[in-house]
Amino acid sequence: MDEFSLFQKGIFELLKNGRPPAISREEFFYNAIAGEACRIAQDFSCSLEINARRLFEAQDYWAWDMLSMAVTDRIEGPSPAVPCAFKHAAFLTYWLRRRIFVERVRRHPHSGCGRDKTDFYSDHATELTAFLIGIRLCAYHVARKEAKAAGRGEVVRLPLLAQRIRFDIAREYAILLRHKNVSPHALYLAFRSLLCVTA
Amino acid sequence: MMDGRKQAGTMPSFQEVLERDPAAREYISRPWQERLPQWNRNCLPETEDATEEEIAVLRNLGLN
Repeated sequence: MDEFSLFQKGIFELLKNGRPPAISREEFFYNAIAGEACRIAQDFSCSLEINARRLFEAQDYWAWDMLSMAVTDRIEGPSPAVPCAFKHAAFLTYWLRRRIFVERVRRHPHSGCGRDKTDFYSDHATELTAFLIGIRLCAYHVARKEAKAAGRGEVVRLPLLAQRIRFDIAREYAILLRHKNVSPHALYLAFRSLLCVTA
Repeated sequence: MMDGRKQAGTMPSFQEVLERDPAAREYISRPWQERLPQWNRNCLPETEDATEEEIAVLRNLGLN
């Protein structure tokens, strides 16, 4: 397994803290997020140039929001509540989108996925990539829970996760994220709704 | 677990990125909590003013 895969147990803690002392939080975040972003771009016959400083800013704002949510003494009692996977993913999408972490998109000359999709991706790379990263993290979380409930030890191959997310839906969210202010809470509800999570 | 996944293309390594990008290198040279703007560090949790009833709803939604 790729040690920087987004689809592994404890991913949100790894994205916040890295693997100290060997791998800093920034190095883990860069390899995991930029790596997945580049794979998503390849799916659309494109390649990306990532703005590293903006990526680290997104990490900081996201990590801070997650820490701030542990302020739930009056809600949960003495032990701090940990935001759920959907909330982690929604805030991550929000900050990746807001910090505009994609610097440049390059289209590959021979598109394997259809010119329309490549055109759309190259115009909405930050939004579509941020959305797909968030919802794939949620899909992985759901798949893990399903595997556990079914008594299977491990999960899930990414193609199955990716298939759960239709392009036309992702396209609409990317347009929404580009032109409207979409809060992380709205993204949280959207991710849950799209993956039909009721509990 | 992740059979058949593509490699991330020609993405530069973390070390290469820091060598090429002084702004990113300078940015991460400070402790991460100190990088955040003061307004962000001081902001109160959103649910500070919520009633117990509202908090119960938010908690059910996972939005506390």
